[in-house]
Amino acid sequence: MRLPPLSPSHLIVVAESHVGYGEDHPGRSRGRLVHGWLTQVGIAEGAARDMAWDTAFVHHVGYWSHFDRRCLRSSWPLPLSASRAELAKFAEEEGVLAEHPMAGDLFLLWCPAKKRFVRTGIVVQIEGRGFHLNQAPWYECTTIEGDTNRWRAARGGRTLLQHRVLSADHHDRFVRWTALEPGEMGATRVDIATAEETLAFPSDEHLRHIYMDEIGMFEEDDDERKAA
Amino acid sequence: MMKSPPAPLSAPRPTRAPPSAIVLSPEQREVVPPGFALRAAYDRLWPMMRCIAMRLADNDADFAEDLLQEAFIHLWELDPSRFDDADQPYLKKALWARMLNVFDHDWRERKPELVLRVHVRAW
Repeated sequence: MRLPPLSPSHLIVVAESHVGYGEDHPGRSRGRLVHGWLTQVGIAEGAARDMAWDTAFVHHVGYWSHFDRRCLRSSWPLPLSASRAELAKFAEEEGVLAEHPMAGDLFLLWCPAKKRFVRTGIVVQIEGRGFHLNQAPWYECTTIEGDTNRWRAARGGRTLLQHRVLSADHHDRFVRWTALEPGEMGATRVDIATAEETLAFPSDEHLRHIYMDEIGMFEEDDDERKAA
Repeated sequence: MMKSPPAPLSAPRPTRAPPSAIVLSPEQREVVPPGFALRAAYDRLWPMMRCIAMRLADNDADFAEDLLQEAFIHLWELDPSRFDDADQPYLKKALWARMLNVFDHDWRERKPELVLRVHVRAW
């Protein structure tokens, strides 16, 4: 029996339904819901009291958004694990670790102090993009994350929609799990070169136009003032 | 005589009010902006950064403000949500480096003796 095809919209819809839920009493007791998510990825109850559950949340949502009741199996292609490092390693080995996001991708947030990924979640929407001074692109994304709060504490205890700026220049990465679809659709593997073509830094001419539009008029005013 | 059109198989569905929507909680409705995390980091780091800026600027309040502004722009670029309590030394070091960089560029020509003094102190 054919399993459900991989669908980012399924993942996002199921993740949306979890927004606002999480630990019973954040920081004190996790409650059955979060224990259930951790148990699914092999973390025994009480085994890791301080363990963040953002990765477990992603796997829970991914697994059940691709579950088929007829064969009691899920087509979710990522290995169930609570470790972000394992997730990144798997994605890299499979060639689906991207530097540019698409809706439905899983993001991995890099911490330069710890030199490892410290958070994962689901990219819901890409709101905008821009460039650092070194011409590296950054992306404004709306994300759904588990175990967070308004202040984005490492162990926030809730599932929330967050507005984040992610950038490959900061070593953030995106897991393009939809490219793991077996069979004929397998050809849509992550192709960073293609993404680079569609994302060129603005030309000097374009920058000059922006400069003239935004700053030039002030300079003209200054010139007029000086002349006066 | 004109033939009347055949009657539809079923009557068109009557319009009705949409089903009542679930009342969303604030958490379900809003996307959390980065400002909360930034504000928390700002509040935590401001006293220490202010002291450093004042010492660097040799008690010149205007220049200290400029240094602080640069430091907190850098904080925004770094995204404080990447760092937890254990990473605060890294964050402070990064902000200090940025302030020193700005200090170098802005004041090297104006007060070379002050730049030298600060570097000796930092060393």
